[in-house]
Amino acid sequence: MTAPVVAERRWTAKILPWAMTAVLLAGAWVLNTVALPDGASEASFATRTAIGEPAATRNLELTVTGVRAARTLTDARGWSADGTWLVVDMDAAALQSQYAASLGFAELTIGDRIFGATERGETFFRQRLVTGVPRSGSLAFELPDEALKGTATLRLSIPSDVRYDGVIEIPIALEDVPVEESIVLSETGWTRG
Amino acid sequence: MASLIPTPWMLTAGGGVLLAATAAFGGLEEVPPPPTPTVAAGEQYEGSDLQLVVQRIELRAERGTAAVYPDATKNERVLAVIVEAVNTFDRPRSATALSAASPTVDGIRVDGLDAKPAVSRMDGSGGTMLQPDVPAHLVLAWLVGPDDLHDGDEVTLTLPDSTHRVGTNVQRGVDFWDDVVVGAVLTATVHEVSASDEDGGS
Amino acid sequence: MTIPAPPSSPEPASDPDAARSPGPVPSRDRDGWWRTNRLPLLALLVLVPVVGIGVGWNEWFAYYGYGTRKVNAVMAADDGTTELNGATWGPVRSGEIADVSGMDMPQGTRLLAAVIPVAPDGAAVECAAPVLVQQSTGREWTPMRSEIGIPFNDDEPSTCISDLADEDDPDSAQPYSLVVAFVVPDDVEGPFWVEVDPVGDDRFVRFSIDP
Repeated sequence: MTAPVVAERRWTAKILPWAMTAVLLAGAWVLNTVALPDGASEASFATRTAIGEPAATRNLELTVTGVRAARTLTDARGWSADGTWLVVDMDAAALQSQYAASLGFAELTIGDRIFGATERGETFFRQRLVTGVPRSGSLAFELPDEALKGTATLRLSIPSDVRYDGVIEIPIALEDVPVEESIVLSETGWTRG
Repeated sequence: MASLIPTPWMLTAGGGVLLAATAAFGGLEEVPPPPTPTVAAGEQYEGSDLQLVVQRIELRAERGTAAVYPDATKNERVLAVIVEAVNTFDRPRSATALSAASPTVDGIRVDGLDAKPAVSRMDGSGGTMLQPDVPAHLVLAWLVGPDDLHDGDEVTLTLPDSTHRVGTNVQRGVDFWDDVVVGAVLTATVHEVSASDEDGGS
Repeated sequence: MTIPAPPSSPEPASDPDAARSPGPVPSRDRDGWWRTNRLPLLALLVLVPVVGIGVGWNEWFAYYGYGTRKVNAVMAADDGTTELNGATWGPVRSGEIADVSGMDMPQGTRLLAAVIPVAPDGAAVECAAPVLVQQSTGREWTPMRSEIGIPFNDDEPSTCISDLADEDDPDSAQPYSLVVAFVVPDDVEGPFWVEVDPVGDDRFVRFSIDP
């Protein structure tokens, strides 16, 4: 009566290590697949919106009112430059505190490349925002000549380092953006109407 | 147990093979370092994830759009190197760096001048951030004394090269360029520009 | 000489346990666990709050403890003045500016102005620009000037200045007034605080206004 029981115990004892190994390997493979990439713990909190829709993130409320492109860009002071320019018009306000609140982070991701808002000319980049009262202005991105293809993602926020912070993300279909010969940047000022 | 492996014979044979190999590769003399490539004014240089074309070198009394302020009482002059720079990396990069051995545009040095150049845009617009694949027209300026350089002098410029790395520890994910070396040498003639045919920005 | 007890004799106490029917763990055993572990549990009860407070205080001190950020508000006395960091501040005069016809003001906002007299005791003091804080929500506004079309004026400083009666005597600073205006939305109701943070330590001056 004891012989079959002993034999069965020996059989399961042999199978058990293999089964455990298989389970652990499967678990390791699953963990590897679902593991977030390096730097995911520092990732910013993105609020996605579309052109024309208001969005809010930490201390920032923003609406992109228009996206245009031009071959020549001129600002209100008379500076002018040729190139391929993408101009983004927006209304923005701080929500909680005006202290050090200016639009300090503006990036456009097109494919593999990331472009920053230009500091050339007078644009809305790094202009002061007011709590509860929207200001309007335009950002400009200087792009290589053949870059107006595909979909771009515009990311905007207040601090220049957006790790752990909130970011507003807007997809832009670059092929739908009207290309004009020349655009004059509007001066930064209060939002009217 | 006497040694069955003939160690002394093997050592001698190994030594002989090593010497024969080194003789075949040219001996135990130090290999001379490869000569630094030269570029000419107007020719494109690629290095440090940048494409640089030094267009001309000017010597002038007025600063124009350069970011240096010559002291007229000491008759200081401005040595301006006009460069077209393209950032071939896929993120914006600054044309200036804090370190003395800079891997970016302000790593261009003139033989004989120790200082780093002051970098500004040709049209005087702000910011020296270079967007990916967008050509930028920059002025690199140094202050020189009234007799240091003259029209027609030959100057030698060194263009930087470096290796791109991504930080792994404290600077995780940060792109930086280090191991800055001289990537190319450029010899060009200085053209003196007098105040009458000055062009502030073009 | 006796026969030593065999090594594998069953424990006499286990028999009654084996005889009991399987069910919930008997309370005697649970009490046994608590009793044997009472020292570690007591230690945890003391250590967890201590570590929490210690680490928390350390982090707070690293951010606020070096005297550069605003932490402690010093409210004005009955006469509206406060003595802090080498100057007498106040009394504050504030109000809403109703006539904004010559200025570039957006719709749906009002202009609140505040005048804060500053009388340095000797040497000039330094401070950041005053901040307007809505008491109920904590929202903050900073002074606006060029944005509403008012040109810069030496007589209306928005940050502390150094106005010496005698250029060679650094202790001869003269009194002046900070003149600031804030653009706030119409639906923002008072009362407010006007806060001025002089350089020196973590204390700052706070006036309560309700324009």
